[in-house]
Amino acid sequence: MSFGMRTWGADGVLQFNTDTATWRIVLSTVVSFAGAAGKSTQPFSVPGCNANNAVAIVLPIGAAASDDRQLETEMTDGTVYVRNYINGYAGLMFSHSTMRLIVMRWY
Amino acid sequence: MAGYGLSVINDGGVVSIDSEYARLCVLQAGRYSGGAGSAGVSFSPAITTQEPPLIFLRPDNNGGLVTIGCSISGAPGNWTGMTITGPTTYAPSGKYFVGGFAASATAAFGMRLWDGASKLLFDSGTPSAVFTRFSQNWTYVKSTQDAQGFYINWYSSPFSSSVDEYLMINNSGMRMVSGDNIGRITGITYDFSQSQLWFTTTALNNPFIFSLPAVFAKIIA
Repeated sequence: MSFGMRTWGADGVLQFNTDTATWRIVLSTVVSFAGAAGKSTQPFSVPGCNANNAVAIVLPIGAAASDDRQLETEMTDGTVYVRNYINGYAGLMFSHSTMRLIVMRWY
Repeated sequence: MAGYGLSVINDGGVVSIDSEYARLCVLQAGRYSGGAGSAGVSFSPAITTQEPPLIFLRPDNNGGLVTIGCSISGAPGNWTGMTITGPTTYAPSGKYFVGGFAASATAAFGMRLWDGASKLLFDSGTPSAVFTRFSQNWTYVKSTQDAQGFYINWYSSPFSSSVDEYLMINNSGMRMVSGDNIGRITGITYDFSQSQLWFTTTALNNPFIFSLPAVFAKIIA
């Protein structure tokens, strides 16, 4: 290491080292499809993020009921799409769930 | 960077930590173990982020199949614990860490870093998790049928033999949209005998199309 920072714990073990990449938060917001009347998509702007440097995840908020359905995400250049249905599948089912969207980028 | 604060740039010329953005911090870590089909972990202290904590897991190698899911207890601002679930024939055990995008003030010495809104971003007692790899999706490999006639779709992600690499499992446990009104039941399976890592969906009407990122991290700097 020529540049950067390291921290050690009281036990002398290396805890943090800037030679390693970390996950940086880009966006954190609650996404709700509670009022959805059918298949729908919500876009979120994430400038500078793309499928190579960032990932979008939707987290269950607490314990999920058996009739709750997960949302799904798609990371594209500068925009994350959150959908309440299976993108590319012809079926009619969709979700009314509310989940926490997190976009994180690694450096 | 804003007009003041801290920005640490590493040999690669990239910002590793700064006083602008929260990083994924290791809030708590340890081992879990339980009885038939369930292992509970209490967060001590409770985790106070609005975001649900990210649960990263590495099950113990049992030489065969390990199927796990999870659920979180508590509410935004007060997450109290988690339950690692599995088949009743399996007693879940392994290593975990819980990540969040806010540090907690635990270190007796070292460094703390706040942003302009007084949010604690870094504490040397809850260091940043280390990025290892991710993929935008799991890869569909095969479909099987169980004794009840349910279809199980198997989606693969590269298996790591390193016991220090953890997989984020928050999405294993909540059902997904399927072709029927029952939904796809989700699960994660480590196949230690074949060195395979699977995400499975189980449903009567189970489309192959699937969209879920795989996120990996480790604790050790």
